[in-house]
Amino acid sequence: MKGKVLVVTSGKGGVGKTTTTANLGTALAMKEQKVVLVDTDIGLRNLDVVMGLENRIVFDIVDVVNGDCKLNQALIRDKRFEGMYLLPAAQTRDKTAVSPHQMKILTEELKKEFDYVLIDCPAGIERGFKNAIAGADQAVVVATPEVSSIRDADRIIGLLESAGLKNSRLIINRMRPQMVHMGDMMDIDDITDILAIDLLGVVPEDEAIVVSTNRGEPAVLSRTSKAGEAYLRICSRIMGEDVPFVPLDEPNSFFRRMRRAFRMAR
Amino acid sequence: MGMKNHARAADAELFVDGGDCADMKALKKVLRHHLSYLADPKGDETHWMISVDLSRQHWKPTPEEEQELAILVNSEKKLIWGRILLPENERDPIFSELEDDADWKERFSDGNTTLIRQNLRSGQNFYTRGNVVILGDVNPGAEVVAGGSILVVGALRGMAHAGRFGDEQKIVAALKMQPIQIRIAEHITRPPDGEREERLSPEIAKIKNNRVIIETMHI
Repeated sequence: MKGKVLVVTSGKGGVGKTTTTANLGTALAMKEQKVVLVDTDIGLRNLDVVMGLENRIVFDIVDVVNGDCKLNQALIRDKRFEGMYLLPAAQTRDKTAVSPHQMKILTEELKKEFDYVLIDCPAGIERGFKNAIAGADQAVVVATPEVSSIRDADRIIGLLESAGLKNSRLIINRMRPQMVHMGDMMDIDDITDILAIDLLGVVPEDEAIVVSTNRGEPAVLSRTSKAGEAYLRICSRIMGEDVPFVPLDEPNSFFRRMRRAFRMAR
Repeated sequence: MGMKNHARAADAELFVDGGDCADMKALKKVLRHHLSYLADPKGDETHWMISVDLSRQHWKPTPEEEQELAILVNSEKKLIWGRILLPENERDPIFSELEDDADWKERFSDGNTTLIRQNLRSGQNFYTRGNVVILGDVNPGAEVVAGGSILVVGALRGMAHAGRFGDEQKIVAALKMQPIQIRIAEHITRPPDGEREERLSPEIAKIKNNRVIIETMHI
């Protein structure tokens, strides 16, 4: 088996990388894919909490690259899906505990066993970022509809390109259709215009995410979460299915067009 | 006309503060010292950028002295870019309803022109002594600095500086003019805060009557 390594990255913190990783991973597992989630945020690990697997950690990614344990000893099997595993980050070390070269070897190893290797990248553009992208085949860039987030995403896409990772795809997270409707938030066209990469999907702001994150139950498991639905559609697109984009809001109103004519500051 | 495909940024920057030097003679001595260090042949492939800040010292160089410094700073082959930072004069640009009456293509007539076939994204900078044509967008946080003129066949949303060595004949042109800042020679302008209606036609920024003026581009 030769799997695909996807890195979930953003540059800016707090835009939903970990939530996205957890939900896409779970969605892939729901579609009977063999998937492993790798947390590379060494020193600030979160993915285990969001997945509700915190209490099962014995070994972590630093132990694996240092040879202190075998890879399959550190892999935690998900409590809901047979085919999903988590490789947790270390909490006590820092990003220099792992090198990009070691990450490359690790992802090569994981690719043999899994259909998808999802790497949760830390915020920033330093060592942690370089580690996270080292073994990746493709990047999923997460951005929220804010100028600062888009700026950072643009920088990240540039860095990914110079690292040889072309064809990055974009997820716009925490979109509020009502605010876009009122002309108070950047809309999808504004964002894709600047970033000029393929759009993988748009996830609406959803309070259910807060609940699901705290409970350790990714939103895709809930039948009622709008964000969960969006992640399921994104998952299908990652698997190569042709899923139409569902409009988040009503068609353009005259009012909105007027507002757009007087654009927000870029 | 020389053509290159890849944006090349400097790997390292050397900064010389005129405020640290008692007079022009002292400054030249400091500069020569740095340049001789750069000239040291060790097979080192580092591309340097050197900046001389002339905005903070007590004495004022004459225009001839500035010229002399510019030549000195750009004399070393390993330098990708040398620049003199002068006290800048910042004024708002004038948005003109008029069409550019001169032939803008003439502004690209001298010097090499570099062709960039990619988007310049935040954090990606490009420096050239000649002209540059960018087939793509220049995004906020990206910088294009040229000794000659700049043409963006796409949206200019970042910073562009034409005529960096002081030539006020150089221009900045873009299909979509939405810059954070435009600089031509020693003039710095930024679009007024707040909204500006999006214009559909390509535009051109140039110096006219000692001000940066933005006109519709005649293709």
